[in-house]
Amino acid sequence: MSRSLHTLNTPPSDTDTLSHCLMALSEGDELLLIEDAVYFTLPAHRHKLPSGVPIHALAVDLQARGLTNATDISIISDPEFVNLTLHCNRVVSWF
Amino acid sequence: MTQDYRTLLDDEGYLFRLEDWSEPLAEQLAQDKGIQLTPAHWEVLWLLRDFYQQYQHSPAMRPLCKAVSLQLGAEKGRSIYLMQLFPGSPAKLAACIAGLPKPDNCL
Amino acid sequence: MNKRFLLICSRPPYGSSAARDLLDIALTCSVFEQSVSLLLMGDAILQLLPEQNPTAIRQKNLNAIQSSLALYDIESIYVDAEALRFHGLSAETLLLKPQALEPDALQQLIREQDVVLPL
Repeated sequence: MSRSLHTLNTPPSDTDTLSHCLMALSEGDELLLIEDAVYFTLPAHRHKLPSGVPIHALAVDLQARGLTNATDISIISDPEFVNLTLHCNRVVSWF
Repeated sequence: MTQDYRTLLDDEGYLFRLEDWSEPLAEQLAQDKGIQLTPAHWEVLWLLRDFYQQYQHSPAMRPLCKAVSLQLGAEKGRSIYLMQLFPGSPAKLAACIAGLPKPDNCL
Repeated sequence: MNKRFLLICSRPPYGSSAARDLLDIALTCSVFEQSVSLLLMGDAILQLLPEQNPTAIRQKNLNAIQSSLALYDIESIYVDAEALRFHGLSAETLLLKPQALEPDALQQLIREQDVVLPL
């Protein structure tokens, strides 16, 4: 199965980048929130992310922004990010 | 053509201003590179100038071959043929003599 | 080694360097004999509107470079169908006659690539 890791780095106000990312996301893909995209973990935005794919957020970016309450997503370290890229067929960076 | 045509050229021998090009200048530039222009050279040079006019950039080798092939016949579109006319790097050399900018995407 | 590259752009022409960058990267990939496809999403479909004339804003005409893509063997040009509807345009009226993709087909296209590069 061909699997893509999509990384997103834009804040929730950038609806275009989010919609392009979501349009490109296949079943079986993974989504990783980095930089300003970690604000999607706020309760007000959480529903804007798809439910069918695993969603991760980068720990250092959450921490930097004071987002400590992210619940139902996987919070990953930098080495885990690297690992994730190695387990996917391609990385698609949305910015 | 003025005596000091070299002042019209940049460090790599391409014209600073494309409008300074003329046929005699092309003859001179070719001669400097050890090439005596023949009708076979000229048909490629004119094709290059048309290419630039139409597509607004100097072609790399692959599209040059393809354009030559489409307009002058498949035999002339082979890179070996163009290498014989413009030895070394035909896309760069021919663009230079044709008074066009150096191709951007050229190996 | 030959890889399949998909370059994705989502910005309109001229407001930024994105559209130029897309073409520069596409031509470079072709020179290195890689297979290249282009996918224009969102406002990037506006790059393919014909009859552009940016001389007065001192930019190179993107249409001119786009017309040369076939000479670089770049013939797989796709646009996002939703963006066509958003802008009220149809693929047939755009330069290069791109193929319009609904989300399913767009996802399939991505799965077929070795390298996917949004710009």
